[in-house]
Amino acid sequence: MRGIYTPVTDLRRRLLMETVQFIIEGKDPSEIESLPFNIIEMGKPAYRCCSYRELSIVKQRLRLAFGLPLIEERENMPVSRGIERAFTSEKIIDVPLVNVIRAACEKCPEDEVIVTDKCQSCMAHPCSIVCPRNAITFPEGKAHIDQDKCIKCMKCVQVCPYSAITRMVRPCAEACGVGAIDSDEEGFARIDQKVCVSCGLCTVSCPFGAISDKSEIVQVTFSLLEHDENPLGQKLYAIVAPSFTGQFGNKVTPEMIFEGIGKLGFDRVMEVAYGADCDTVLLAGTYSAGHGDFLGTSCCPSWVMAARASFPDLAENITDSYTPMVETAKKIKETDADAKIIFIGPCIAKKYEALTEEVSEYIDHVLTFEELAALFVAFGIDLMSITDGHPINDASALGRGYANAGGVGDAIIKTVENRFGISDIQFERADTLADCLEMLKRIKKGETSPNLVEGMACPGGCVGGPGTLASPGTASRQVTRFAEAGVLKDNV
Amino acid sequence: MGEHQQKEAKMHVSVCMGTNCTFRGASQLMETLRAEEGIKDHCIIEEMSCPDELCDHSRRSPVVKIDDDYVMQAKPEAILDEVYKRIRDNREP
Repeated sequence: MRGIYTPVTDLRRRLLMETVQFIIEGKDPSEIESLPFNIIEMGKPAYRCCSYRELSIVKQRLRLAFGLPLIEERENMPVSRGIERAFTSEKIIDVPLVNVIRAACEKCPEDEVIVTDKCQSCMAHPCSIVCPRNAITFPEGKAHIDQDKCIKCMKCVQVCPYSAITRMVRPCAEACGVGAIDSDEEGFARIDQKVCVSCGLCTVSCPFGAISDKSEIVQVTFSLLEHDENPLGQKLYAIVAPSFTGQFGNKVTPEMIFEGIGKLGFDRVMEVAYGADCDTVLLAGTYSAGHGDFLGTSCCPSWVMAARASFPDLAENITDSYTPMVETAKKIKETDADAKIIFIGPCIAKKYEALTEEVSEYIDHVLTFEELAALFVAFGIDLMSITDGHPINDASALGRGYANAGGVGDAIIKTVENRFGISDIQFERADTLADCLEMLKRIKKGETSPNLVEGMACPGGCVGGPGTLASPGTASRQVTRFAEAGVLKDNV
Repeated sequence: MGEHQQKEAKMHVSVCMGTNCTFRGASQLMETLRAEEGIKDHCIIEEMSCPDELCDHSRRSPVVKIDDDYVMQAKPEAILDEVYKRIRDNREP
């Protein structure tokens, strides 16, 4: 539902803004109990059946916004328990990153094939005839499916002349490309954290906003406030993913966005497309030096984790070089070893990547574009009123193109051709984890033998990430536009 | 008879497209207003820049101005209701 402003979006944004405001106003942790009442009004439920339920849900959402784990309802602890731990500029966030807020979960009907009112009790009743398990009868005229017999082959769905039979799915489970979501004993959605790859697509698929990720927005706010009081201390760097370009509407240029980020208090703002350029050259070199079955890209952490879990042998072909995010951070640390680096992107999976041992020494915090927007609002920065944009020239068109599906592969192919004269590269790519795993299945079966493989967890690539503000289509066009404006230099 | 031939002055409906208001769905509100056939001939629908933090850090966003009057926490239904009301009021002075 990216690009569509729903009451779920509204609640999430109000919550982020109020959280940041709370910190900016210097309120004491003990005052946290008052914060939900900036968002909901007792007696006037705006989103749910009653304000008591809204209050429960908002309290849990606040815990995630502060970077803390949910309170298990059974534990009978006040939601403010341990909240002081979040009042810091240090990193506190930890797994699990993506959480189901049970109080918000509506226990949507699960995977079931059902007959709707469109059924006309027709004379032909082809549904019952095509059913391989005799699961369809007509007790009261209309078709009825015996759920114990039904194997969900969908033959009845396809044959009904009225399209009266349909499959009910839980949006969250359907969005999950690795099958990590099922139901607990009470029927609430449950994420198997051993299977979850933190792509976060479920968070933007639940129409009740019952699944949410943890945020570092509080710790970043403290970092900005502390830096403001001590500008000569540790320097703050913002590194921005290439999918940023159209995120704030087509009247807000990339230069205006960088200027706005600078106004928040960052000492330097840099494109992660720089790191993408580094990776392109590295991977082109690896490719030309010869490799196993194929060379697989690694910039999407969810793709990498999903591939390793389901196809461990094939996943050996995925490069283990650093991602563009880390390459960019490494460059900064070359000249400023004490730098505090905050990655801003479309991604929840990067929050996971930043927790890994290898990456945590380079990246301090990860924010999504939506969280960045909340910072602009709370700190009073109006991007539209910026007249002098911050010039951006850290990267080439190839690096900037990483944000669209196919962009990584395209960059590597062009570079391999230019630098090593190798052409006719068999390239296969997929976006969404379900399609990525299908692609690996085909490769394993030998149905296809690519030389280069690109996997992306989000639809359309990074522009379709769960942390984005704009619709993927619009964002994709803006990415291409900004890339074309970049100088296609022989990178790095 | 000459009065009826006189064109009624068009209403100015301005939607703030500053960062705070777009954060709270101003673009979508704008599209909804532009899509409403019934008001097309009576209104000029425009974008406006942030009228100096009237919105209290987006708490009262989106901000819409109908002629000289500000409407805070603007919802499409409320704006359309108000516009239709003014169109009716203009017809029956």
